[in-house]
Amino acid sequence: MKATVLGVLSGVLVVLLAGLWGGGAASADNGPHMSGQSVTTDSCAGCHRAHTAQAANLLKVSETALCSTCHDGSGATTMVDAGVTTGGGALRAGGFQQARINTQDSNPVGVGVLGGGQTTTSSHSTDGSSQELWGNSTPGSGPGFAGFQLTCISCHDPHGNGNYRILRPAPASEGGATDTTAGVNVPDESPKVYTTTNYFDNGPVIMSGANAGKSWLSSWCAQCHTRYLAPGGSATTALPGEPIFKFRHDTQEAYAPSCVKCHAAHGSNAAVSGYAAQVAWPGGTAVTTATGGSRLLKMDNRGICLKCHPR
Amino acid sequence: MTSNAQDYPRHQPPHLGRWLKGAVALLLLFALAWVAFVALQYQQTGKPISEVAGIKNIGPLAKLVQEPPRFTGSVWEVARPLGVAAAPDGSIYVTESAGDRMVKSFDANGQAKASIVTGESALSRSPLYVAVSPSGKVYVSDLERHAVLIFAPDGQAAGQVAPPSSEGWTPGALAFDAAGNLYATDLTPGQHRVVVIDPDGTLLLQIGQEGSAPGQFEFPNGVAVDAQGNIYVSDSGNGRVQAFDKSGHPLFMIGRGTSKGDLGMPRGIAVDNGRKLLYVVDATAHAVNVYDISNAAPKYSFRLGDDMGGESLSYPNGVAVDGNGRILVADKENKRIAIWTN
Repeated sequence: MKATVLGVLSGVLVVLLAGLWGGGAASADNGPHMSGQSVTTDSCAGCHRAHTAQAANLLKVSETALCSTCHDGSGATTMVDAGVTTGGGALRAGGFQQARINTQDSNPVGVGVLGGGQTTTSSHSTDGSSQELWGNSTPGSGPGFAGFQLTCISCHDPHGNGNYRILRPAPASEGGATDTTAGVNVPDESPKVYTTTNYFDNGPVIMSGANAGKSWLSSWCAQCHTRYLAPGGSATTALPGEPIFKFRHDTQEAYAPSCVKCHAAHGSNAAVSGYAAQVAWPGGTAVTTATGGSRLLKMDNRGICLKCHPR
Repeated sequence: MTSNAQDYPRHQPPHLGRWLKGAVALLLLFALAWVAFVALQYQQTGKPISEVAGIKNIGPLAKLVQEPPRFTGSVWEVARPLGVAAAPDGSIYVTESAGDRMVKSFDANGQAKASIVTGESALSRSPLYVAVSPSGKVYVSDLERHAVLIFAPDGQAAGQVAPPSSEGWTPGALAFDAAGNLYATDLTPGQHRVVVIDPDGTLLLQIGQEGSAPGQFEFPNGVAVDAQGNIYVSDSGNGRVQAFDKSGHPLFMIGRGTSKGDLGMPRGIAVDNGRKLLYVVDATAHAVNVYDISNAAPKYSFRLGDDMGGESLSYPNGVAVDGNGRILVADKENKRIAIWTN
């Protein structure tokens, strides 16, 4: 009987100790962004106000300011505005204000990295201003969807979700999602690689199985830029009912160039002039920006075409 | 012939008496009581078991030991300032993280003086933190340059601090003691730490490494030293302040939590040696926590920039105390230096 009591007491002690140690550990999900229940009760108030919020999503200030509190290099290795890590590596996606893409690289199969940053000529917006999602929606529906308010959390889930770069399954406009698709959960890579030495890269996450060779990121980007996701043969076969995006570069076929092979997701420092600067936006709107609309491309003008099509 | 464990008689230790079994049961009961206490502590504080022991919790009943200073104004025209420092003559130096990314300087009355630049263009520099040596030289850590750059008060370049490691470093927060020794945090990926370098460039002390255990750091964004040589480090990523004596031995920690005086994301840190107060910027609380450090255990005293008050802060980052006891706070998203006066 006494042995039984001792055994029960010992068992309870072991279980409690195991539970406590386990409970104390934080399950990091891409750094401090937590998924699950390991956040402390104070974590909420650091960013949110329940009744006196000054920005959407009950944030005290805009989340761009919140994100940059760490992602300026003082609290995270990835400096997203500068397009570089604190260790000096160039971010795969470039930066919002600067990028280090060697946009004049003559290497036929590569786009190298500059030693220092250059001001970006095009970037995805992070300030919540209304943006046009070029190619959004169904064939024949116009050039895109206007009024999408793009911020950091439009694409990234600050609470963590286990996806590659904590990408949301579906991008969301500030103040509410406009996309009703089920979403694309891009699987994470292991180990995570945030930098690159060659920007001419299909990206680290490629599908397997029946879709082997296809790009997860192309599928993800195409949730906004719907009609840019084009299967093999789209360059010679017209998209039915579509007057603008009639013939399209293949982006969906296995081992076709993914979106991120030619475009930098955050921003590019490519320069545009000449014919390239006169390429209107889809729908015919003239380019009016001083930079000529480099369209996140990784080479000056349309030099990125020459990487695969040298003649 | 086969053997079976059940064939053997149960072992009965001849010397294990009834009293010994009772003692074992009592020990187990004590252990269960301890676990229950720790569980209750964890439920209330949200801190893991590894952080409970040895940490001086700043309780909600802490006594107000000093009158809070008064908010007396701001210095504007600084682009998302991160760091701030005060010179012996009262001059103020501010690192900008946006715009032209310069080190702005002002006299004690807030009048602009010549700016300092840490690189040829805004693209080639990224000033992070600033400190002024006892001799009046201005030291600036720069993320882009991976260096601590030295300037004369008029902005003339005067060299840089030799890295404490041959493979270089990523210096962050800076502070000086009265002897002119430089205290710096190193944000190099994989080796976050604190180093102390004498005026000749000799590495005197190195504290910690990257990690979350006591004595380790995740993005230490603040360092300060008091008159006794005690070193205070804002361990931002771990949400705590760690204090060490002048030899690097741990003294206390102020942890992350929800009670008064607990921290969220500590950034800048400064000591008022005259009043024996420790100022810790909590960026996500949008406030500066002030602790009485006149005794071995810190005691939470008051808070500056409460987020519902008229002098509210928005993502403050750096803090400094000048020779007149004024508290200077780099109020990043309000793009100003907020000033409190004792």
